[in-house]
Amino acid sequence: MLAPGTRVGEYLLVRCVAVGATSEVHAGRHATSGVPVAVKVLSPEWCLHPEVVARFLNEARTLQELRHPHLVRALASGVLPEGPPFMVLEWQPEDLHHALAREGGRLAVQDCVQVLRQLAEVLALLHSRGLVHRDLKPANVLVAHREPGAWRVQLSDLGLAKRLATGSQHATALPVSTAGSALLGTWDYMAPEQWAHSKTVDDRADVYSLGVLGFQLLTGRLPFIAGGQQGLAFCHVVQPPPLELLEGLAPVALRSLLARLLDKKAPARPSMTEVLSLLPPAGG
Amino acid sequence: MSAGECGGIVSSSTPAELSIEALLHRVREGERGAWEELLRHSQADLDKWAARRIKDASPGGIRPSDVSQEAALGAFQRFASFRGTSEGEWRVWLEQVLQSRFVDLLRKAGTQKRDDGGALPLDAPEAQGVPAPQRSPSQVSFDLEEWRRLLTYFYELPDAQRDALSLHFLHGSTSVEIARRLGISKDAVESLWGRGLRALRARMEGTADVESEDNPEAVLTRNQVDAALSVYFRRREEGRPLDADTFAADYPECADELRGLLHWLEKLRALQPSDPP
Repeated sequence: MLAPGTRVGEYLLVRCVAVGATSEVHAGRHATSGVPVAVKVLSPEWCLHPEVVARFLNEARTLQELRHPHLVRALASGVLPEGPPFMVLEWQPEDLHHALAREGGRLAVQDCVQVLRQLAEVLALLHSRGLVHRDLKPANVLVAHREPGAWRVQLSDLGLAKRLATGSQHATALPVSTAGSALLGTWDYMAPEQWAHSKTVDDRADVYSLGVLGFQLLTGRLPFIAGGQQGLAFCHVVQPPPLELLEGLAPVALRSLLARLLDKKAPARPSMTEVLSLLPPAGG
Repeated sequence: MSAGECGGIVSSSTPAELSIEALLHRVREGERGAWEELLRHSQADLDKWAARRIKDASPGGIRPSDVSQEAALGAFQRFASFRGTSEGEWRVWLEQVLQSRFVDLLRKAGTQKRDDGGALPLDAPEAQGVPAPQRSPSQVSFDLEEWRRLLTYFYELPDAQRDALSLHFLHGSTSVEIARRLGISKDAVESLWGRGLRALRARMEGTADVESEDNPEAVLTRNQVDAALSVYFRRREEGRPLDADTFAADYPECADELRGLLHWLEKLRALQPSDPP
């Protein structure tokens, strides 16, 4: 782990704030201006895995290429003298997972709609560029502003993002392949087709995950709860979501939309652009 | 073609290194010894595919040689249904046959484990392969992989088939309730169950779910199986105890096919993990 005070390009590390599966995230600041940043560094043990390195570099490149108010900005990227690649991101002190906990587990309808709309906007941009996020969940949504009626969130962590063939007109991504049966994504938010064929999913998988997130924001619980991977797979693939739990918590239009987002069959789900047009006004 | 007709070797006028395509042609022409030569050409593939399926584990005591022998026999029995002419088509078809026989062997091994456990002399070479009372790690891994594949193929069924199977075998709805919900007749519901099961079985066993309408024997067997399944479904709805093997034995004309479908029906019913939400 890199020590506080380590210089990373124009930035200095302050402290390690998170250790993920393949990378460490450090709080840092610009060496001269003092602007706070987050510095994400690939863990040394993964630097020998070309697959993981390619994912990391693809994520850095995508975040630097794309600009959207609801996508976390990458300010710089590179490779440390010791070898690991890094990226410097805008600093947001809180993610939606922790913000939800502070809000009592669920949000008011207007706040929920605001968060869903902002995420749908940025996901629609990714989809238009042929990118599928594949790992939408509260921990990958950063909260820039948390106030009733004025939430502002940013999508982060494109580490599992997949570039669809249709998006190849943009910068070429480094090749990434995955083992045939590897599950990619976080179980609680994974679309049925992601359980079946995680490598071949398209943008409708993100639509399903947004549906799970919307359900969670409104009810304070996930649509499917099971003890392990098999149980969750069965629920997501076979069990109908408990939409009755939404009654009394959301207007009919929003409930109907969430039901469509959670459809078991990808083609039956709306596109992210349609989601934007179908989301009710934040006021209710 | 019968097993007896396939005896002997390829005539001395036959080149020693015939292509697969030429051998396929000669087998169809009924040339003596051509079948053996075709199998000799394919033996390395059969051994390789069998070894790939068994790997380090020996589920139910099955050996790679058992699988390749069964596949050779199965290929002989089903050769009339093979329509391909190229080496590529032959190899794909042959591997499908091997996969199907492999699954059959596994199923039989599971039955023997219940019926004949402990009957094998300890000094018999096969005793080394007798399953332990507890599932081995490789067996657990195999079961998990099979469960995952079944869930995947179930998800990929046409909507109507999946809904009909799911409502009854996973959620306990009656055929009348399903018929009302889907807006179809009770017979149509049973038809969806049968078609769904056939499709599932074909995907799980790596065989084609297409039976030629030109083959009167296949059509007859299919009709017999449909009639038997209809009885099975009704008895099941009446709550009568049903053992798949015993039930299938009452229909000797299509027992194997019926047993295969009921096997996957039982697997489907067990799809929901024991740790429900």
